[in-house]
Amino acid sequence: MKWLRPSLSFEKLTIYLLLIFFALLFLLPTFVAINTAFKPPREIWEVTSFPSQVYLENFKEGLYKIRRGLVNSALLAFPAMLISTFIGSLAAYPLSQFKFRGDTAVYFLLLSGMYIPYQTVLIPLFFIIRRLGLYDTIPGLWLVHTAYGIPFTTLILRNFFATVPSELMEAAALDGCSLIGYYWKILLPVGRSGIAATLILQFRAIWNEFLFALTLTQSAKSMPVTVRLQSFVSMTEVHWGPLMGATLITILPIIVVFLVFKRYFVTGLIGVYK
Amino acid sequence: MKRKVLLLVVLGIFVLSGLPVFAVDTGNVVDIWHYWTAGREAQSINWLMESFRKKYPEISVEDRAIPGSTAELRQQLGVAFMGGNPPELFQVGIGYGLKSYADAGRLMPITDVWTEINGNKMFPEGIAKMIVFDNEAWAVPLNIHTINTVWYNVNIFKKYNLKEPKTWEEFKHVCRVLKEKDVEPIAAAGFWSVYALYPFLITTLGPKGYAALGQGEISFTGEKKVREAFELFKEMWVDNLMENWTGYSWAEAAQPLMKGKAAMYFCMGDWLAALLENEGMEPIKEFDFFLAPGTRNMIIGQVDALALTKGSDAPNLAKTFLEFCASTEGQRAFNRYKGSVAANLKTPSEFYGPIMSKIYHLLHKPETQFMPNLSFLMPPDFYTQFYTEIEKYAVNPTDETLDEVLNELERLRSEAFMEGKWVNWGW
Amino acid sequence: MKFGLGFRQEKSLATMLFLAVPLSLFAVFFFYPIGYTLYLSFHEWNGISPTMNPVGFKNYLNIAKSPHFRTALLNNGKWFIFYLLFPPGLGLLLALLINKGVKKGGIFETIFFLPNAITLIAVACIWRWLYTPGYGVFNEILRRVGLPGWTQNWLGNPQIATYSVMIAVLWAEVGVFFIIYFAGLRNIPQALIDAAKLDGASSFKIFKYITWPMLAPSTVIVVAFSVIGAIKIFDLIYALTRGGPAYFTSVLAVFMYEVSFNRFQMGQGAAVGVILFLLAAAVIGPYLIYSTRKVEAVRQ
Repeated sequence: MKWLRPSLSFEKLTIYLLLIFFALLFLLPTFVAINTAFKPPREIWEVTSFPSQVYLENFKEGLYKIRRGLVNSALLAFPAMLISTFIGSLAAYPLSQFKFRGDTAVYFLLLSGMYIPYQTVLIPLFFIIRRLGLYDTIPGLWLVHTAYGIPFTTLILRNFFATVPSELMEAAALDGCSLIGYYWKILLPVGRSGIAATLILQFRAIWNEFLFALTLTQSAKSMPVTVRLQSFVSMTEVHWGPLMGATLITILPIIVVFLVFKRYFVTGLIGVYK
Repeated sequence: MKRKVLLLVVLGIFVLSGLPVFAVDTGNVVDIWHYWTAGREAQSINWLMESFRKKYPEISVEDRAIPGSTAELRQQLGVAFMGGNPPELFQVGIGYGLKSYADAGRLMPITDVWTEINGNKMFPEGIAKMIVFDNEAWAVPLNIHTINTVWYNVNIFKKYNLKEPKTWEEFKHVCRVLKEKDVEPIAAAGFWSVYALYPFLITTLGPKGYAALGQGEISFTGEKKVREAFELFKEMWVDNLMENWTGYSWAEAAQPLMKGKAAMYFCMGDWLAALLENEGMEPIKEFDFFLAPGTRNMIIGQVDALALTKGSDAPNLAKTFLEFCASTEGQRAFNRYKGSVAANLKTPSEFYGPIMSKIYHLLHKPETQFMPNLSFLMPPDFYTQFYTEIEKYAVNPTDETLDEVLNELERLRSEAFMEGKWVNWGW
Repeated sequence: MKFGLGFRQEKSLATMLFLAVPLSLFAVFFFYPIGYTLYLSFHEWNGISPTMNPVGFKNYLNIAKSPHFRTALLNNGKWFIFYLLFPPGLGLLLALLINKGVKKGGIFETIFFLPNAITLIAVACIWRWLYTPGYGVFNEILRRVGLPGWTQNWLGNPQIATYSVMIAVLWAEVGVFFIIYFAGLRNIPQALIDAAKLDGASSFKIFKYITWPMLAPSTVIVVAFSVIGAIKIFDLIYALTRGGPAYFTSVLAVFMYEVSFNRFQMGQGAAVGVILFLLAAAVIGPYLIYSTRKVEAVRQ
């Protein structure tokens, strides 16, 4: 039979079918969003029907209202992603490579930051930011996201760095490599899977973050796109069409970052045996 | 490596060049915070500000729309008060909300403005009671959203020869006919059940009793009439609700009404009319309203008002703005798009659509009384738990649940009483 | 060596150097707010008044008396079980499937990560449309394939509403779990797997004795996320049901929000925050300590 080609084993077929099954399930809700984005206002409530025309107004209106927000979010998320991952890696290095008194305690302490509900820190946070003169600025948000990203980034990076065998460090020391050099030249490249994962997740978290963005910015010059998106929504009216249009636009940068960095999900030991 | 550093530097320059100048409020700007973020609501505040600018071009007025509603706005205000840079004016509900800001010392009284415009005569008595307390006036009301309106699909009523019910007996009859014809009598949404309870409270307790309940003076378990109100609520409202009503949001529930699957929408605010019109239903011809039985001589409503903060930079300019808001010109500008009626009784009515005109005339009948939403009378702590308990009963309207609910409400009422939380508004 | 110090001293120096910035940031941005929250929990405050009233343990007592709190706590328990099993399970499954080396795997990766990229309000809107009883997508599909009896009041029926929200959360968040496991899988040296295959080990055995243990670091991360997720879950529940009907789908974070911002009881809300914090620490503390040791084992 032609279709039982040797390259397509039974196992592979099952895997494909499963993947397609899940993919369809995952796509359905997104498809609803895309569907709605192309509908004129009157058709929006007909959730199960297709648009009668390709209605681009939603995208135009959506883009127009959030354009400055997109710029701000970009200025916010790209640097913040890099800085917060970097700071996390600083903490992850000693925690994963060295044993010292209280290392578990420090690790635990840093992680405990994840339990804090952000609603409760708003007021003290506001004071701190104001005292530093960073209210209503993008660098202020860099600082906030870096600080609050520490538990998250430390967690991921510490665990990925921990997979680097300790022999590597001894070998490096024998080669005359300093501890800081080890960090730059060996640990980071070897741990690049973890770093890529952290970069992607941090970017997404920062880009989509709402509460800090709302509280710590006020003027159009620094307001990120998540706050701007709210201009389609109020207590008594929701503009579904432009909201979906704008949302689809805001997804793109995250997907781009994802596509760019996921190629670094490779086994980290390849380059080492040079 | 070098490229990364270069990139960072470039980004840094970008950002620094975009850093806003720090001092935003120069002392000549009237800043208004509100939660009218989108659509017609945003239009109404914009139009109000535009009209003001035309009249007073030398005064700068800006606004900030905070996504959400009372809770979110209050959050941001709290932060701003702490930081010492509150806006000049902000949107506030009359009654308890307003009083909480005044008691905290965050407001500047506007009694001078109020006396100037003769506020006690300009606005309905029911509103003035909720703005003037502790011997001062604290805000300027902008509008009235009516909530004791029962909306209905005119075509369905015509088809089955139904008339607008004036009493509960007639209402019961209407529902029975509808059920026989396989039409859901009442469309409803989760979370709004408490509004539907109001007409029943007024029916058994009377308007004075309703207000007394809002002032914490009536026992939930001791006063039989309270229980009667709940039972009537079950018989007339809960038992006639459309299937799966708890799964709908208020806007989603309008669809069955429009499609003719449900006939009435009970006690939803007049913003529903705006939604229906937007969706292409013609007011009066295809949808109309009647006031809920038992409340035919009153308008139960909610009111948006603007209050003046203490510690802002330009209070005098803000007072000018407030005077403008109270004037018929300002009221007209705001209510033109809002879908509500002006609070200022002297505002002319020619700009209202057919539904709003009807409400306007009802409001201006001499025998009509204005009653505020219970949420304005009660402490927010109590009110939040109040509407949750009512929802609980509406979801499961058994006698046991009613006992539980009434007991819990009475417990909360006495607790609030012990702590001196209830306010006597003068009803 | 850099300073001519012994290796051990240099290690200590490096340790302090590297931990300096993260720890100081942490001190400012975490200790202060935690301390503030704890302080606030012993006071009564409405959020706008310049003064606060000290009230001892009254806030905590009020919370204990509240039926809303008890329901919320119970729901957090349900979310705990959900979060430990489903997002990690599905994320791992998807990562394993793709890792087998399918052509155009990238498309699948993007599809599974995509929901995670969508902002919250849009996610909530989409799922409300899916779940609307009368004309939402799910019920419509059920009707059209001839199963009208299976239609549900997804978000309005107190018995199933929480599960409906869980499905939405699963969809929106599996991307994170998927990425962690995917990166972890890729991090396993292919040489080990190939050697085992040559020895004739079955796929199942390979998974059990090589893949799964080597995924320990990823699992630690994933479990931490699960626990945190289960305790902090707020956004989608609030957006989809507000914790309703009444408070049947509510969780501690929703309760905290309602108490603080709808009821203007910031002090009591802070007390809920403290309880949340302690709960999380109690659950994840032991696990972290245990898992730290386990990951050490992987290194050797």
